[in-house]
Amino acid sequence: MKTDLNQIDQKYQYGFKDKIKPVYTTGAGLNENVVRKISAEKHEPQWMLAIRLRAFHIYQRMPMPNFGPDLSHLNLNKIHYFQRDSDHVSRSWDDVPDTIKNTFQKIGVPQAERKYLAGAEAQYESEAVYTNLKSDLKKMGIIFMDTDSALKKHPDLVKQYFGKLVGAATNKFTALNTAVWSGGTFIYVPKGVHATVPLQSFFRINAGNTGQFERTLIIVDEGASINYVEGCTAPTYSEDSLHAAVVEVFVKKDAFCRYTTIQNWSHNVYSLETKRAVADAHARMEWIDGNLGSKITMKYPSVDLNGPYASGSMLSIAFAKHGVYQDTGAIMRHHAPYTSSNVISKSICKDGGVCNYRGKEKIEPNSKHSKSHVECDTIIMDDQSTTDTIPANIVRNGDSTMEHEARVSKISENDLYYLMSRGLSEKQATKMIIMGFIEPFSKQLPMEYAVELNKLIDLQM
Amino acid sequence: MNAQVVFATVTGNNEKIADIICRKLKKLGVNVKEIEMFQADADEFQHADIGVICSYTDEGYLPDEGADFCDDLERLDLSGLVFGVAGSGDPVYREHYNSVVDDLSEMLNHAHATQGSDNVKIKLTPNHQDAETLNQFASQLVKVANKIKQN
Repeated sequence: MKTDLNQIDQKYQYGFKDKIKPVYTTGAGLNENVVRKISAEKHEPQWMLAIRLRAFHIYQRMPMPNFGPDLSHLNLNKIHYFQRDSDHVSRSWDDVPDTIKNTFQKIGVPQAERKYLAGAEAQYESEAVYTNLKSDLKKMGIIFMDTDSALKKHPDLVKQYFGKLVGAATNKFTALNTAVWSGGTFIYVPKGVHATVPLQSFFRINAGNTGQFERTLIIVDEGASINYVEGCTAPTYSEDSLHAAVVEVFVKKDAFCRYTTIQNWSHNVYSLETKRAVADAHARMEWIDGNLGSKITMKYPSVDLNGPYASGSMLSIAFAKHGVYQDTGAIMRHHAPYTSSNVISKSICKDGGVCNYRGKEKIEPNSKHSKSHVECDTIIMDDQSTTDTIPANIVRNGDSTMEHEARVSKISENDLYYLMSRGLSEKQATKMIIMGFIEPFSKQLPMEYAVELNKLIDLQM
Repeated sequence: MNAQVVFATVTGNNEKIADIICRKLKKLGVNVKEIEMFQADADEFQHADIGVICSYTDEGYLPDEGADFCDDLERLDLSGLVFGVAGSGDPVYREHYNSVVDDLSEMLNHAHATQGSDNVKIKLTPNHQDAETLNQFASQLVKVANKIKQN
């Protein structure tokens, strides 16, 4: 326990910044030329340029979101939309430049790999600089690479699925992402293949004022299964950074996909993400989502339940300290009979932080005998913090059930008193209670992520 | 021939527009289904010959209650559908005046649907002249849909 307490006083260990001069950058700001340049720089096919240009025009005419946190301080003209700090995507760890390696060593990629990392792909700035595919995965036929390489090597697959779940016109930031996307992860799991180890990827924003617009595409074919883990830590930096990612997950018949994210952006990052999955008959999609840092997070992962007996779940925690606005939630759309969804959202606010749950459950007329359950738990640690639950529950047939529970509480005086009577300090006791509160979440994480999460929560307290 | 007419309304103006279009389509012998955007499923456009959307503009935003419908729209393959978009708005909103009408028709074009008639933008409540425009709009849609069917 003593060592734990020492860690609390440590400086934020991930708050460092490497000196890297980008090899190629389009400069600050965005216009049609920048979009064309990005596409040309990557030697993309014409159809991708067409998608980018259309999205750019939609982006221009679309207004900013009219709900949730205030985004007026986000200056979109100051952002660098594309930069490349490594000339090519490396295959082996030895080819990765030393400065970048240092960063990854600090966040523990190599250790993770030593343990049981099957294929690590790390996104540094806007491009994957390190891609490693374990031969086992290859033998199984699993394609795991960055989306840029996938576009070159598997153009047909990318063309078939790209933008089919998240359209450019969904919101301003999906339009922006579609116009300037770069990097991200591409995974294809063939029919009946079970990925036995979790696939992992680390994301990291380094220079200030850099937009990260990764585009992730995951296709889990019939009867296959996959567990994908994504970790994000960003160094502390003074200028505002934007992270507008788009994730599309296709879970085919009888397939399973679990997508785990731990997001710990430093407190100047705007994290405006769109994540969407579709589950066919008997398929299951699970989102596991931890939001610890950032300045503003707007993220509402969704599952479209399109086949009978499909199920979707979302398990999330959010932690907001002073100056942090977490606006997160889940969207579940039931389009077929006997579908089920489950949302558990846990949040903790402290020192004037804001945590909102904004979700939507929709049971369509054709989804008879469906079930939906939503649970929102919040701990408010002091009088300055705020939390809101903003659910939209729509049931459009008479045979389905929907449950919604919301609970807001302070840390119980009784629990504190009990723990302190056993010789713990107030700080230790509070920490224990918080750790217990998030346990259902941390239990679902791979070991090293659970350890990292615990450390991060420690640091936040 | 089947037509699906979807409308989103706050003041009732766009419902009036949808009603006028439906009446004309029925007169021309089309099976018409009129439905509020909130209840509409974009998939149903795939089974229709003619698709019409009448929508208001919420200060430049698509109607909130139709978010799912609009979201699905651009991701579908609607080749074979003849579409038309009309809307009522207030010029007081300047650059946002009926801007959603253009957005929706861009999305439908992207979904490979065929634009049967030009977009119709109406100021507030449709008057007699507007009704005439809408009647022509409806007849034009039927004409184009017939042509496509013959081919």
